Amino acid sequence: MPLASACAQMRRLLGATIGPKELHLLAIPNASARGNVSMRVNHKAGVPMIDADVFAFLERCDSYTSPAPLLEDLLQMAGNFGFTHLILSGVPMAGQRLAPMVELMGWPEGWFERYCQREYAKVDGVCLYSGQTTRPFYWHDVPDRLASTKASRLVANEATEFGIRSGFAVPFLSIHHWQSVVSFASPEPDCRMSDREKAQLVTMGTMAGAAVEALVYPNTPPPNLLTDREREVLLWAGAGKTYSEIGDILGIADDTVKKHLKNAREKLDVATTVQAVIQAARLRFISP
Amino acid sequence: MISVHVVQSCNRHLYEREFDEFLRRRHDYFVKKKRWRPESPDGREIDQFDTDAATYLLGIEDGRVVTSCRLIPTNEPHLVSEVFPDFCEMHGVPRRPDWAEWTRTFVATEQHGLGRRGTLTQLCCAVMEYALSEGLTAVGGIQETYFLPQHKMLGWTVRPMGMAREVNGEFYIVAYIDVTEEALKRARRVLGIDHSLLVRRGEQRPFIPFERLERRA
Repeated sequence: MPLASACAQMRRLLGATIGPKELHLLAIPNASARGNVSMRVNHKAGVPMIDADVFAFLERCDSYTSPAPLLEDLLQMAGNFGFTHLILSGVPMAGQRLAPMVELMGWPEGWFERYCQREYAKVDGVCLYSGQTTRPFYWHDVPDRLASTKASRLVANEATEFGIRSGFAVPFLSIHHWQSVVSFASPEPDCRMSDREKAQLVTMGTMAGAAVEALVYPNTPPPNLLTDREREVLLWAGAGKTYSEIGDILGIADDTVKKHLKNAREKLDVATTVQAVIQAARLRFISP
Repeated sequence: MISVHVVQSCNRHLYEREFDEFLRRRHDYFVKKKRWRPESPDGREIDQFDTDAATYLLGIEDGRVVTSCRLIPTNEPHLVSEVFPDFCEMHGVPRRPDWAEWTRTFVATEQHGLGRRGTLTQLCCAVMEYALSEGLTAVGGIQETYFLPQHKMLGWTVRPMGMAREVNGEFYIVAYIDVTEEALKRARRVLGIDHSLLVRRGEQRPFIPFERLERRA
């Protein structure tokens, strides 16, 4: 089977595999709960939050046993800085789909659905930059090469229909994703924070990210049969890359790529690379 | 999988080449890439905390140092106590022989993507193994907020000492991790191993001096 059609088939199969998970994620929190949260936010932007409130939040982070109350709490805290919505998610790379990577969904109703449906993650400068930097950043500081493309400006423009005009993002290391980000959104055209507020929000965003990772993978994933390199090669194979393209990307020889794929197939006990990608995704060893 | 060698002043002579490579790699990363410190003419990075009190863990793979870090008892002068005490406004600067400051974590830049992160996980596992075997109760220090979730993903308990702060565009936070049997078990589960990563060659000095252990007992 040519690789391109194999990949198309794989994506179809994966779509079927991941479906229920997506639904589950979209259901957390449900739309009405989300609305309520926004309504209940004690909006006191401009009034400095005291550090003790931040420390209390950090303590609470460890106590949550599911994502929904953590999201609600984080939204409430972010509301103190004028942020009304947030998403906490793995950053899609190499054509990965956003939906299965989302851990906390606090976007306005309709926006996430549209964002996924139209595959905005592939063109949205904020999303792209989230995978390219390890530093927290204001959305308005995303480099022009990413932010001022026609497609990215279109996304930003459409977001305003949902009350999202500016924001601040905090990237962090993730064990299952390339990296993750928590992105706070504001209805104001230009959100600004003092240095102190920025430090408070980065502290809370980072610890919320850490708490989510600990939640989603309680006691960590099943023992991962695959080496990091095998997962990486599978990930790129799943994105439709050829042996030599993968070799170029990872800086290794084509034969080494083939060797990793062969090892991965043997470990997963499947005959083809397509099956290996599907099986590895099902076991969450990779997230295509 | 890496082997992690425990290097102290008393057995450093066994690691002349590796230790020199370690200092050069520190220079590449902390001076040239991060610009934390001024360039050194000899291309080695050494600071005021590289004393006999320091213990180094060097992760070696195929004869090369691919990852490393430094541990210092917090009752000795250390980076947080001397340079960043204001990062500990919530719980104060730790000053305990059984709490080690963990600094100068480094992973070779020629490793890419997931491979690089896997090496970091192996180093973290080795730090936990070493800390547990030496009777420490916590390890930690100042780190980029970006890396903090890594510890939680290993199932570890992370205790921030205060608020993150921005230094030259990057955010740092001081946090300590509980050293427990369970923490080691969890890190090993993530790596899918059940064996030791540590190698101890030549003379070794206990991390907590004997007389302090006695006093504690």
